[in-house]
Amino acid sequence: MKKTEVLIVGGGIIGSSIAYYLSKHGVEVTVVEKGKLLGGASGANQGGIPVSLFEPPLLDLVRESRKLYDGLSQELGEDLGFDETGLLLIVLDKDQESLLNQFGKRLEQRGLGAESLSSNELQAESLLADNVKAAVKTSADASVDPFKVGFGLISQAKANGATFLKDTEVKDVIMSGRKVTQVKTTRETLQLNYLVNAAGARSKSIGDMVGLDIPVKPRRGQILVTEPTPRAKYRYLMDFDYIATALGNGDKEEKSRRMKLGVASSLIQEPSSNWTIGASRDFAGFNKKTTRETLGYLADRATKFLPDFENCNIIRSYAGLRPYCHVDGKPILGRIEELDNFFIATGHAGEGITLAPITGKLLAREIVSGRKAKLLDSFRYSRFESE
Amino acid sequence: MESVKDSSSEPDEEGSEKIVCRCEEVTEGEIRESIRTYKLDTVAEVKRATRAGMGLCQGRSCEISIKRILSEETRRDISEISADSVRPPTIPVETGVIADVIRGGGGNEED
Ligand SMILES: Cc1cc2nc3c(=O)[nH]c(=O)nc-3n(C[C@H](O)[C@H](O)[C@H](O)COP(=O)(O)OP(=O)(O)OC[C@H]3O[C@@H](n4cnc5c(N)ncnc54)[C@H](O)[C@@H]3O)c2cc1C
Repeated sequence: MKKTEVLIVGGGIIGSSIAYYLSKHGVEVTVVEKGKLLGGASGANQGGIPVSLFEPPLLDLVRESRKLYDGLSQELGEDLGFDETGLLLIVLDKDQESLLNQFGKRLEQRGLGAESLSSNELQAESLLADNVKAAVKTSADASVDPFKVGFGLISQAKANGATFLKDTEVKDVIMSGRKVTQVKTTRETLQLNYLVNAAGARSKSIGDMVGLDIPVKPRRGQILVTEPTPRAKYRYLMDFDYIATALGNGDKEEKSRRMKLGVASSLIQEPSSNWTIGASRDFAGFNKKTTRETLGYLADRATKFLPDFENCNIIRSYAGLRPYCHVDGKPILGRIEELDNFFIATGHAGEGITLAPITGKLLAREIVSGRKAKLLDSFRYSRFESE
Repeated sequence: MESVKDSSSEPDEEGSEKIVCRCEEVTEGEIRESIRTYKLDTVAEVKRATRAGMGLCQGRSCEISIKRILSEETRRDISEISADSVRPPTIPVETGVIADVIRGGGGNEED
């Protein structure tokens, strides 16, 4: 029987990042992926690295990850399409203007750069609709080509000796007391010393195999991709409604059909100069299909901010399943107390690309050192047990 | 252990500089290298790893070449290599047309 030191379930960006950082420590690691590498949510997202949207303690984790991105292109020897564009937060509703300005103030207090655009500056921005009532420009936020990041991590992990098995599904585990000793896959059974659950939206099913109830379910998101357009000054635009739909507290607005489908604009111009028009948030089980209605709302909302999009061609659409923690929406990270050798890294929701580097780094450190990483303390599985 | 770093992008065979995907300017050599490095065996994976077929024409002109290269690299008959799944629209459509579904009177769930 084949033996591996660390077996990671899931070949998405999270599993790949953990594999990379483990391999950097010289640890022998095998990633087992049921489909294709980066074929899940990690291949169906916008590659945004939003920083300004979060509250501590998640903000602390996001900031550390953002710092790692600074040196990642060089470290992986690959141009990751890292674009330190900042975010332009925009509102259409006059009554949201003061909320936006408060939000901008709070960012400044936290040492995150933010400035309001004056009405002159707004008018000078020919791409923006006249209806845009106010905008705040932040500086910490960035974007990246998520495939370049994923494949960059995979290729360096491989160069360091990591093994990636695709088209191989983990079906069951064999335990000995508090220890997982073997993993049964659709191809072979593997012996292991440590198991990492990075199975994304399906990480609950891996938890079930060892008797843990992991509160994660898929939250669908849909995206449109435009043809390339001339390089814009602001390449990462976000609808202020996004904060309500993505990060909760959307109660009163839930009344409209658009808000029910969780549609708020997140617009990113990729390194290839195509725009991705995101995103929506709904619960549809493991259904990964796009729907005409949601795409309709996405398209309509985007044209309200960028009217030129009206006649711009859409070349593709797709949907992905975010791994979403239905208790508190936060990631679930680190060693599980109930077992001797089981680690978890999931629930990254709409922030998995953002958080991949820090997740990989800290999970690898916990596995290698046997000590807990302090930054992960707010995100442990044990937080569900007191409830 | 595989020596990923050594599989250099230098042209090492005939045709490797040939552009396969014109929209995204991806060469045959880049596609072959990705297939070998990541052990790719489907058109969808080649698209993700190289961006070939991700451009304006969405692979309508290059998908057949990608299939041929895949069949050579993985030593399978070209008929065994399935097409990538369709991600609508099948031809480019203006954003406004997509938005029309919900404009003027509520949308209805389809697909
Ligand atoms: C529309 C959309 C837009 C997004 N935009 C952004 C953004 O701008 N910025 C950002 O930071 N994040 C964004 N995200 C979120 C991000 O994509 C995810 O958080 C991230 O990809 C999660 O990575 P993962 O590796 O945990 O999951 P996945 O990529 O889904 O990987 C999990 C893998 O586990 C495999 N697996 C499951 N069960 C098994 C099993 N039994 N055996 C073997 N393998 C198994 C699956 O096949 C899958 O490949 C977006 C997501 C969506 C859907």
